[in-house]
Amino acid sequence: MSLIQNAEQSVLLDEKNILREDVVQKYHVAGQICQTALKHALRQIQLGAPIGKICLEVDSIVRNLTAKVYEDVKEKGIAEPTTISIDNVYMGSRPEGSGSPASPGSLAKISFGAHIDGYTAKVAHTAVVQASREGPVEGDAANVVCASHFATEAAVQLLAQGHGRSSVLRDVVERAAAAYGCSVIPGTRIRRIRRFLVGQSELSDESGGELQYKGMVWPLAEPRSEGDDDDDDVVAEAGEVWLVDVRVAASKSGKQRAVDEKARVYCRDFGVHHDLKVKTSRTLLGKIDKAFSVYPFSLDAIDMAEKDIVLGLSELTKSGLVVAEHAKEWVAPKAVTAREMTTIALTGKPLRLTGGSSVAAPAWVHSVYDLNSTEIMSLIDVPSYETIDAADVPEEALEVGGEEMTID
Amino acid sequence: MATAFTCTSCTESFESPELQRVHMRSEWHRYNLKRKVAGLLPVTLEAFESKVSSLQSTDKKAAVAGNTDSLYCKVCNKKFTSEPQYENHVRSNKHLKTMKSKPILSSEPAPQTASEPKTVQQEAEQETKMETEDDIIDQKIKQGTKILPNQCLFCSTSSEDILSNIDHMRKSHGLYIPDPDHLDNLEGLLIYLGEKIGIGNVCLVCSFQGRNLESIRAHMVDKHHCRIPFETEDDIAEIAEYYADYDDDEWEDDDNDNDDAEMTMTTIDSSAPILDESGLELYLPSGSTIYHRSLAKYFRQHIKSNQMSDGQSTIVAADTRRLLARPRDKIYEKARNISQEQRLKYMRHENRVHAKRSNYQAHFRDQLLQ
Repeated sequence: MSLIQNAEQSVLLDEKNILREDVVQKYHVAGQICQTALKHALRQIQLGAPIGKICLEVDSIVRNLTAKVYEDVKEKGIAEPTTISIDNVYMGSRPEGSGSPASPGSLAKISFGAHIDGYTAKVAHTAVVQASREGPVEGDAANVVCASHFATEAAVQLLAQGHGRSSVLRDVVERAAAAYGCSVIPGTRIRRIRRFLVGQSELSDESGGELQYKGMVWPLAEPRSEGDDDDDDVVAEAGEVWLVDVRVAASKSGKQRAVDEKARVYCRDFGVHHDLKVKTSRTLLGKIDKAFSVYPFSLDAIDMAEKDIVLGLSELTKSGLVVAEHAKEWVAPKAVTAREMTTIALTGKPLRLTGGSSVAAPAWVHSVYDLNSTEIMSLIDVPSYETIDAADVPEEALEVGGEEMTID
Repeated sequence: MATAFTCTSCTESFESPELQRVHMRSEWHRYNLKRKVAGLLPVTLEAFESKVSSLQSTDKKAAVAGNTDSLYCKVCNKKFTSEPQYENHVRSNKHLKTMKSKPILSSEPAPQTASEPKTVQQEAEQETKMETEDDIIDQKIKQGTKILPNQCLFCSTSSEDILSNIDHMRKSHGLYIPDPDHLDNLEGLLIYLGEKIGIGNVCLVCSFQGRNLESIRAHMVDKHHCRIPFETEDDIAEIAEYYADYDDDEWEDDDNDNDDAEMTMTTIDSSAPILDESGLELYLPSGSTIYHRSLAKYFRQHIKSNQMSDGQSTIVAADTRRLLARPRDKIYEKARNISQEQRLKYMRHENRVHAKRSNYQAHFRDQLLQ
């Protein structure tokens, strides 16, 4: 087991995370690439393109655009493979190949990320598939879109204004969800992200998984007794980068469940050491380590024959070297979900890396409920952060590298 | 000049052993011994005498004033209980005789009766002091051994030339000549160091002064003081005259001048490929080194690089499971058991063989009778 020296540890965990000008620039570039890809993806969802095709396109945009910048940086690229989850599935769904178009009017949650040298920008947004131009979406879909939108905006504003206390953030998200008759799905998190440490695996968000973890997560279990809350009241400070990842379901109660289909997204676990027996799995692991490093990856992106991947993966997953990230769905009578994820760098003038109304405007919806909270309304009235605009997608960036391989 | 009969504490030499023995008993010698213990330089006979006489004059004054504790004749080493007795003694023939005889002997201090005026004495004392220091240096130079530039500073080896001497001192004593690129006068430096050790008997590194060449050499070898200090400004200033252009402001921009000095130092290196003494390394003029084929097994290793990328090491560094991991993991436990088992097996085998061997004796021996 290789040991990380203390000095090295402090460099990796502390020094490299100081928001110097060049670091902010890398975050900015990563954020802009996300925005560009998101704009393209939202247009494709509006047009009703096949889900799998959009995923591959967004991946290729992120891969190609990151390849063009910072040529001296080795580690850059996709921080999270694109997933588009429909209706009751709220995260992690990625069809094999091109897939089929989603039915019009359903809620598509697109989620992906980009990183330059480990400085990561992640984004998720909820869009209506082939939204009609005649009228807004109504009903449960409208409620969850509103709830997730306002919760995210309010949390981002609180962070930007320097009031990012976990109890306040928790309160605001809960209130926004409650105002639309929705509930916050466990796993919703508002956390600090650091270089390479963006909560790739579930473990890091559970308590104690990550060193110097800072943030909060809506736990899977029942909420703890109220007395405990004061103990872990964390405050977002200037000079940090925070990730707001809000998942909202339309029903008051429900259960989350892993979707019963083969996972298409996997993540490497570097805490596990295991000697592999099969040669194919050794080759596969070498390729995974080299190509994706510490970030989750989709099977489409591996440069190997599909049957070799399947063969190798079985041993890798069994030994725990690679962990499958299954899509997750919400099981409830009214099972419509929405998700918003955004990244904000708390520099002198806070910089919202991803999302924001200029690129990811909320879907056109009409809810029967009202926010009923002047506090939240006034909070999100005037943004106290800068946003990044999307750039035009160059034609060549859309050429999907691995498409031939995946379609057959 | 130097004879076999010397006194090191008084830096004096004698013609015969009798004279040396007489000297050893003298007050002057005792005085110099005490000075040596106190770490002071020895005084010459004249200086000592003037000191004694000045002391006596004061003594006498005290005696006149009626000090009873001065009823002591220093010349005859006699003590008296009353003043009349003392005066009687001073006037006696015996006392006068010893007074006369002592200065003639010259090896024994002769406290003359203080007749000269005090001020003149003090001046004389100062003069003698100055003289004595020069004398000591002269004597030292005469007595000391001169170490030639081709002789080793730390042992009695002498080499053919300076370079081979330097080579000897580097290999045998670890002497490293500081900053050889700037060194201008290597011979001068060696002569200076040779004088410091051979004549001054002073250690190069610390302020230790040896009694003679052997002692200072032993000190330097034992304390690993076989080096030329070059750390502080004083160190550098001491040997700066042997270095070329050693002004402080020329540290950076005297590259052109240095090239010449460097050339002289490295001409040997750059002219032709040099074979190492072991015959395994060949230094080429280009600066690269070629190693012998027999070393290939060391150089041609493909050590698996365990280099992780930044991201991987970050993840590992932040993984708290690493901190929770038990020190004795399963795999270590297993390895430990195997090694323990092997050791036990080996010991059992040893015991068996040993027991067998003890039976292989030519004749029967009763254990009880031994």
